[in-house]
Amino acid sequence: MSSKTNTVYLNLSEITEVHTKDVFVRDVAKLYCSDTNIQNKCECVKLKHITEDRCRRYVENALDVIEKLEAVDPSVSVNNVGKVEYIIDYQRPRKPRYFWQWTKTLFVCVVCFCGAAFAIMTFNNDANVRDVFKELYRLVTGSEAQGTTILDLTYSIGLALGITVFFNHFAKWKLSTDPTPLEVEMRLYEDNISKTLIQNDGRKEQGIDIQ
Amino acid sequence: MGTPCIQAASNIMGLPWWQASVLGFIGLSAGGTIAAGVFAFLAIIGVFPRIMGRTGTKRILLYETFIILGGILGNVSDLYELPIPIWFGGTFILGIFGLSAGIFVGCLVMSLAETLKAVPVLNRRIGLAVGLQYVILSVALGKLAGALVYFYKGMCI
Repeated sequence: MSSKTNTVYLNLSEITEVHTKDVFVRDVAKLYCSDTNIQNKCECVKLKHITEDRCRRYVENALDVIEKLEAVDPSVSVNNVGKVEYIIDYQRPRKPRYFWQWTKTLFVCVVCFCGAAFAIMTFNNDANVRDVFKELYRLVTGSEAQGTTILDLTYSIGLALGITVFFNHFAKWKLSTDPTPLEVEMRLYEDNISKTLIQNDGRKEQGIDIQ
Repeated sequence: MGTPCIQAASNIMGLPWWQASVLGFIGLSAGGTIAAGVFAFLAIIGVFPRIMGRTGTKRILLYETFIILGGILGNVSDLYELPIPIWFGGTFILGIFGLSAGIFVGCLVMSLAETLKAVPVLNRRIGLAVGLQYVILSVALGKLAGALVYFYKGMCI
């Protein structure tokens, strides 16, 4: 037995989508070891064999990974720099169904479009924007507004500018390299889902708990 | 000779230039601020991420473009009362609009309730252990009943 220790740095990602039933270390984590030979050996360690034939998320623990890695070679010492609990998201391998995907995309587009239109209309009516504009018009010009005024026009332009600036882009044209608000919200949402899955798995509360 | 020309140039939409610029400035600022407010609310309340998560589609930029278009066109058609040209099947298109707006508002009110943590707090207080799905179903049915009563029993003006 060699007295030399090979430190393997293990960086597990929080959630990994896999399509094969055999899950290896290289699928769910990044490794680093100064000895490339050991690194390669460790990356090829099999972590899990999924027996069920359905899409499921498995919550796993880094301790099992460390145990399996240290079994590879007596000189290995694992240093975990990533997550302690991680999720393997098994998705059955299947042919991409483009028609169905685009149907769903179209559905979401229609809901987004109508929802945004509905939201701004209800806001305008709720806040009585039209009457406020009439009042403002009378205040500035001293005469009653006839039909639509310059306020309506510039309000619409300002609204369009405001929305574009808020969402940080229009179609493919981006204002800055920041991620857009929805991208940020989507990541937060996914993070919360992962956190909830991990916490549910570790929870052993008796009696009052949500089933 | 020159006076009517200058008069015409200094008139913007029938107003003297200074009145027009004051109103124009107010309008632009109001529009920008309200757009940020309303759409920040929509983005933060978590309706869009939820719909995307449920359908498993991730074309975020495309969806945002449609939100932008919906906001702009919805506002224009509301303020200007634009007749939207519907050549055929107007009822059908209105039906789609109603259904989509309904789905959206349904997600919105539930997101709001969830953000305010009404259901979890109630659950903890009375110690609800089983049947959370029936609670959720009851909320949905209650919303449906409420909407139907509201529209068909003349509670709206």
